[in-house]
Formats: sequence, structure tokens, C-alpha cells
Amino acid sequence: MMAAFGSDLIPLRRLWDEAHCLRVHEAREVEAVLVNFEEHYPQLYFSVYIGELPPTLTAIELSFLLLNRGLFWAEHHPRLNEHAIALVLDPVARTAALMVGYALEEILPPRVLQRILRNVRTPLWHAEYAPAITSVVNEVARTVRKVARGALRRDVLPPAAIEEFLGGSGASRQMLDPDMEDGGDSSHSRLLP
Amino acid sequence: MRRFPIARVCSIVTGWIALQSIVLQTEVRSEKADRFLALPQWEERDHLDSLGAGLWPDDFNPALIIHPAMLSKGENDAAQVADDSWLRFLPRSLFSNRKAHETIEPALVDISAEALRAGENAPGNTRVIDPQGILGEAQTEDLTRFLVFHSENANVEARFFLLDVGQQLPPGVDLSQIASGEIARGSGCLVVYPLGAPQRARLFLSQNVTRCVEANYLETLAAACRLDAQKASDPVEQLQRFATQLSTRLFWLERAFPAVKPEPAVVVLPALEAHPQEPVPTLSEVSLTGSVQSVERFSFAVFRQRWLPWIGLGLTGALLVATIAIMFVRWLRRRRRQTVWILPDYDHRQPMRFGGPHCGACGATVKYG
Repeated sequence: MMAAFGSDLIPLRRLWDEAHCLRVHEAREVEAVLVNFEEHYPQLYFSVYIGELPPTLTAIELSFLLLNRGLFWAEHHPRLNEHAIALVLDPVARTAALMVGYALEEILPPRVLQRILRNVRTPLWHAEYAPAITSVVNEVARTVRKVARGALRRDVLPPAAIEEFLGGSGASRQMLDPDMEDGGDSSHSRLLP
Repeated sequence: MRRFPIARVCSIVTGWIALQSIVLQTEVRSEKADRFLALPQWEERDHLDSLGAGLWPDDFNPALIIHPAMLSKGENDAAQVADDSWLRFLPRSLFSNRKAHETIEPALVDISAEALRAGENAPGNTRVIDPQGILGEAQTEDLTRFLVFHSENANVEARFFLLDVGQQLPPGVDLSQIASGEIARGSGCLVVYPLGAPQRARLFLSQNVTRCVEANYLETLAAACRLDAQKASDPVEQLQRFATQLSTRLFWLERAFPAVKPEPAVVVLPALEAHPQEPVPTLSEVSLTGSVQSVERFSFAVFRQRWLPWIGLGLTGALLVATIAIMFVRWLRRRRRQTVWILPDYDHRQPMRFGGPHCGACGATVKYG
């Protein structure tokens, strides 16, 4: 099967709504849930694909392909494909598939994955994709938390970037360091060492 | 020539004769009825005679009966103001000359000095002081048993000094020596009760009670006893209701003011007897002229002294617990927000399945349609 699809890497996003089943605010909510999941589980990566699959490809096959050919973007922490989770929804075939990498097989065996998917059959049947995806993500997080070790963010992750830190106050790096506009050295700033 | 049938002529004649006979019989019956049921001839002079011979009062004048439609506007308004619309068809003289019965209060007589002295000489354990023998023996025993029962269970004991309905206490009389001065020494109350006149009952309380209890509360207590006694009409029943209400209210008083306790018995040493004695404690009178509102009003004194500290303590505790709970929840949320979850190390030496370098097709699928 891997040979049939070649060996090219597929750049993955957190949410791929090719079937346009989600409204804008729903897509933003799902994106926020996935970002929150990645922040609390820096090793894991959750990818959701919603689209109509060709007759020759099933949802479970696509999830297998995504996990083996996917290229995940790691921002702060190295994320391996072995720690990835793929959820594929086919609104035409009305099929859902959930698959995990090698590292999560012991934590999320097929029996648990089947239970998680079974619990979201009703919202999926009502085409409520956003609540269904949120429920799957939360249930996966709850299951993984049982075997994970808790640690403070500052002990595991590097400190946030200055732009991100100042983003909430509306200030920018240039406002605090006017020498940057002139191409000067930012080390002369009194506010920013 | 046309021939009339004889039978037809006969039948016509017979019918005519029968009709005439019926008409004659009807006229005779009507004449008899008119003769036996003759209507009286109405004459104007009989009108007043018949009214005067009825049940009307002697000063009834039918000319004073005015139909409401004939009244002028001013009179009509005045009638409405007086709220006597149901009197419109009755002569006004029936009500205009009526005067309220003036209740003549009997002149009150001071109780005799002998009776007062007998009350002072009564033993200290006397509950019902009745030197004149006003109350019956059985009622006296009942009231005595009730007051003895009350004194056994309450700190503030009650005693009754009975007067006759037309008697009163002499002005300026000192009741501190009643029942050998036992009332004034401890925590007790004395009710000077004119039998049959609970509104003139007087309530005296020892200083041990009056200095611990608010005057407003005592007035409410006295007014409640008076009002409960006035619900009955029988003098003995009034006395029983007064005593029952007084006993109940004294129990409430003890709960509201726990400081009211009987004075401990002090053993007087012979050496102390030589010193000049302290002034004799006197009784303080409580007015019984409280209103119904004061009786039914919520007792803020009881609330303030008994429940307010507990309510304040409970509210403070609840506030403290709520504050701690809120702080704990906020700390938990902040802690959870700052917590990341790290999985144990992964063993990369696992064999590949289905040719997948990262995933071995460990998944599940469902159809929801």
C-alpha cells in the first residue's frame, strides 16, 4: 500500500476541511481546540481531515497514509509521526476513521479508539462535525493523560517569543526598541536587554 | 222542494239547549263567588289606622319615608357618606333618635388594708394570693397547681394577687412585701388581677428581671397576656388564659434573655447581720396597654440576642469557605493551564507493520450513516 502511494511527504495541517462541512466559526473553534491540545501535549499532533474520498480509498487507508507520509510542523517541540493522531471523516461515505502512530498504540489501542468513535456517531449522523471533533480530541486527551506525566510548561517548553508575549498588550518590539527601525543594534534598548 | 232532515234539526236544537245551560251555570257560579269574596272598599282614613296598629314604633311617621329618587343631590350624597344606604326605605326616626348606651363604669374601691396585710403575711410559697376568697376553691387549686408546675420548670416564677372586679390597689402601695417579700427577692412576677377585668390587671416584676430584659419586651409580654385573656368572656376562663399566656411568655423570656436567673441563696452570716442591710428590692410595674401590633411584631430582641451571632458566624464561615473554594478552583485552573503532559519514552525498535515507518494501522473506523 505504501508503495502504491509513493514516498512523497504530505504537508499536514491541523484541520483540513476539503468538504467544507464546517462554518468559519466552527473551524476556528476546532482549530483552537487542536492548538490547545498541542500546547498541553507537546509530543502529540492531532490532524483532522474532512473530505470526500475516491472510491478506491477508504478512510482508514487515508489515515494510515497521512500518518506515514505526513509532514508535521513542530513549533516548539519535536513531534514525531509516531506520536501523531489522524481523524478522517468522509461525509459522503459517512465513515469516520481514527488512527494513531506506533508510540500511542499501547495508550490508545483499537478497542479504545473504537469506543471513542462510537460515542460520536450521533453528532456525526446529525452532521455536527465540530462538536464531534471536539469530543474526540477531549476523549483522546483524557485517555492519554492517564499515563502521561504532568510537568510545568516552563520546565519543558522554551519561553514564549517576545512578539507573542507582547501581543496581548498591543505593543510591538519596534515600539519598545526604536533603534530597530534605523537598523541599529537592539542591545542599546533600555527596556529590552 | 227541499226537505230538512228531522234528525239534523233535533241535534241542532239539543246543542243549543246544552249551550244555554252551561252559560247559565257559569253565571250562577260567578255570582256566588262575587257574593262570598267581596273586596274591601279602600278608604284613605284606614291607611294610617292599619299602619298604626302594626309593629311600627309609636313615633313612626310615614311622611318621613322618602324615596331615594326624590332625594336632592345634597341629601343623597350625605346619605352615601353616612353609609346608610340600607336605611333608605326605613324611617329615619328609627335611627336618628337612637343613642348609644352609656356604659357606666362602676366606681373602683381600694382594697382594704386588712386584705393587703393578709397578702403580705401569706407564706412565701403561696402562688395564688386571694385573701378575700374571690376565686372558687377548685379554680384556686387548679391555678395553684399550674403556677407551681411553672415555678418548678422556669426561672421566673409567677404569682397572682386577686382583686374583686370593683377593687383596685391603693395608690402608692408597696407590693414588695407581698408573700412575705419572697417575690422581690428572687426572679419573679406578681400579677394584681381584678377577676373579670383583665384590662385592669397590673404586672409587677422584680428588679432581677427588669434590669436584664428590655422594657419593650416586657410591655409586649404584658399586652399579649391581656389580649389573650380578653378573648374569653368568663372571668375564670379569662384568668386561666392570662396565666397560661404569662407562663408561656415567661419561658420565652428566659430563652431570649439567658441572663435572667434566680438569685443564688446567700447564707447570711451572723457577723454580717450587724451591718446595715441593703435596701429592699422593689417590684417594677409593666404597662399592659400595649397594642396588638407590638404583640405581633417580630421580636428583634430575641433575634439579636439568640440568632444573630449564629447567623453572623455562619455567614462568615460560608464566606470563608466560598473564598477558599474560589481560590482553590482558580489555582487549579491556572495550574492545569500551565501543566503539560509528557508521555513516557517510546521504544523505536518496534518492527514495522504493513510497511508503515510511523504507523502500523492501529486504528478504528465506524460508519455513522
